[in-house]
Amino acid sequence: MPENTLAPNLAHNKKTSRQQKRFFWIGLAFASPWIIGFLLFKVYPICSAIYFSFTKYNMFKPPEWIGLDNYKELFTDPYVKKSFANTTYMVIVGLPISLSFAMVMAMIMNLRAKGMPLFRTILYLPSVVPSMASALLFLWVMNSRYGIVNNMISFIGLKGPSWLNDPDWTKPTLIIMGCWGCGGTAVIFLAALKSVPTHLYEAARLDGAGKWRQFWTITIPMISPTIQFQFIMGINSMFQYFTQAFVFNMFTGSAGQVTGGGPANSMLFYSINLYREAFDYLNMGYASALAMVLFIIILVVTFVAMRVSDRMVNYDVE
Amino acid sequence: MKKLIALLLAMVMVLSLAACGNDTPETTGPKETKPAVNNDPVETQPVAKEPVEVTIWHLFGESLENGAPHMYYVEWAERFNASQDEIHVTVLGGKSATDIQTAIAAGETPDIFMNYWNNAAQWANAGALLDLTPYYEADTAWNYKDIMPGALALSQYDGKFYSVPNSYSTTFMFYNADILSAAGWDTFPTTTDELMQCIKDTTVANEDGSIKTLGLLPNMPWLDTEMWAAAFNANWISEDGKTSTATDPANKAMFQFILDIYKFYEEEFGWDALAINDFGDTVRGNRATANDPVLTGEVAMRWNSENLAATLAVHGKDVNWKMAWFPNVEGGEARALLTSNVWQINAKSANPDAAWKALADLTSAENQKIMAVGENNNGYFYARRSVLEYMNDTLADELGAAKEDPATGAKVTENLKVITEAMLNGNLQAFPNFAYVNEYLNAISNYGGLIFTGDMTVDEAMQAVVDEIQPLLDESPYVPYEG
Repeated sequence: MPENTLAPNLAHNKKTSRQQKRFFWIGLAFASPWIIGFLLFKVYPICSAIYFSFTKYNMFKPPEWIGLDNYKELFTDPYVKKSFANTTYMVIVGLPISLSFAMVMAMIMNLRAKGMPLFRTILYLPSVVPSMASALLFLWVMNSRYGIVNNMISFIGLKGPSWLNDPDWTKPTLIIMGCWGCGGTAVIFLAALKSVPTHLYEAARLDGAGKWRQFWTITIPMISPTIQFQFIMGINSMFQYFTQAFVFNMFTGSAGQVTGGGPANSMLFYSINLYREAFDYLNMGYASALAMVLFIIILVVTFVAMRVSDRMVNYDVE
Repeated sequence: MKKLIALLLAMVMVLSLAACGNDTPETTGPKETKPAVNNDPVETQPVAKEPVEVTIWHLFGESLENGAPHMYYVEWAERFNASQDEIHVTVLGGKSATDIQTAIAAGETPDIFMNYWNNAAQWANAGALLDLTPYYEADTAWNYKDIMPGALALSQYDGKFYSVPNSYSTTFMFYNADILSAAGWDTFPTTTDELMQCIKDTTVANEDGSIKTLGLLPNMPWLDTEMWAAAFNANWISEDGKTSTATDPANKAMFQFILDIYKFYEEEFGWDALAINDFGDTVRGNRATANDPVLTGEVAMRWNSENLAATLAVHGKDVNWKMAWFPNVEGGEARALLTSNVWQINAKSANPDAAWKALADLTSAENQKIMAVGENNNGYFYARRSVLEYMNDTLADELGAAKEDPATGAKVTENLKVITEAMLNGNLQAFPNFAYVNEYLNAISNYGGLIFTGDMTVDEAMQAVVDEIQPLLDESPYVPYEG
């Protein structure tokens, strides 16, 4: 009798459904602090910024709708061009260098050697130093007269560059500082390196593969998801490069009443220009438009980077 | 469906929270006490009125050390609160301009706050500030006419007063008198031509060709170009307030002068602009310390605001340092750049009248005379003429009689009179106070910097400044203070 067999099932489903509903509400209640935080501190500001980007808004008076004017101005603003060029430099040049450096550090940390835990600790230590403090420290490390870097260069009979005042050297200085603090990235690479099965290397060795071949055909493919992750995160952070350059600009020769951009604006990054527009010039509407454009740029670049890198990433690690 | 329900629920929660936190100061803030009315109904036991709360934010750190500004403000607040029971003030320090911006935008109400001079017109234009003109005119006891004209000019925007000047600050030359004397300069140069010669005479190289003593570091960032412009009697905006005058000969002459200092170092000693700026980075880090470059002799002279005197009095007891008025262009007037931090009242203050009463007391001549003792008894300079005169005529002698500050052992500077006399007699002028001051300052700094890196000529740079600023002046012209 089909009715008799169905009836208990339906009752059971109803019961389950009520229980599921109860679990759902309980789960939601537990998740609500995060949901509230997310809506308040992420969704609401983003939605506000989208709206403000179409307005003339100075934070004190109500916003005044001006349509696309902010976006039109943005494309003719020389400071936007300059800041975008500087930021792109950091993404194209700085990011690969700092990722490569972190990878090398991770490989060194992966060696079986005496005192390795101590070495790992020392290597990781700079990454726990706050950005502000490390920037202040590097003002002295890279000081061209008394800084340790130029002193070391002078030991081999060369004259070190003017790291902080020469527009050609300011961004490389920031990249070097980034490499110094890459311990966090290196640790993630190290975890990936540790997860590569050793039998792959053993098989490769049996086939006569050297270290270099093993690196390119085993290590890189096996940790490629991690590289992709770090690359995508790196793109995000480099496009939003701010603190270190902000500190350098405050304390070097370009300091002034208004947020500076370093020698010949060589450290005027997109986020610094955005900050200046928002807080020095009170152009919050225009700054919101800048933020929206940055958001779109990061979105597009990230999307393209993911699509391109997807073809190179090996997801068969597990 | 579940996602939708979750989203809706969360939104309800958020809206509830937002509603809880949406009370505006106008509805919840303390209201001003109304004057007693004679025909009140039946007299009952007098009910103690709650005093009106007035919050004051200032820029300085909350240090209570000897002579720290916060200490003076806290002591004033105690005096003020004890002197009456209508208003209760609370003083909080360490509030930057960005803190204030975001607080006001969020509806918080610091009733009174301190701000940098370069934000005064901009914030007034933005609608953040209460128009103080009626208070200025009505409060005759407070007497705004006692305030130095340059500071008053800095407090107005578009013909109205939006700020009350606090400090009165300018740039002086601090120099190592022994170095100048050895180079044949027993008195400090008074003109820019003499200054250039003095720079040449006092610059010395080590045997290896490196810098031993630099006559003057041309790049000691702190409104450098604006300060030099005042020395060269140059103006940035025309008298009618409508035109950028960055391309005027005086402005170009000023930049050329700085460029000539760089050229001298390069041609005479082989120190290019990078070498000079690298040297500057090193000595700048030691500013106002025991290793200040004037004290160590790394530079023969350098400029700074008058407050360096207090620091050198502590650290430079064994060094023959002196200070002098910043030289002016040959035949020009004795003009210097005025900067001043200012007090402002929040346009959204729930208690503007009470805020004014507190601010008027804080900035009264009587109170400023108390606070004028300053750090290490070396004076803190306020924009009131009567206070500067008091410092010059009375306080300097009183402090001088004390010989040394009991807290630090520092000798009281002999320069207190030098400073006050210069401030009373010199023509201190602020940068034109129009809505786009910060944009103008940035343009000058940006293109001026390109002159010194060789990327632009003086003519090109000044034209670039005009091109960038003129549209802003067209939009919002400068309205000069009529006095």
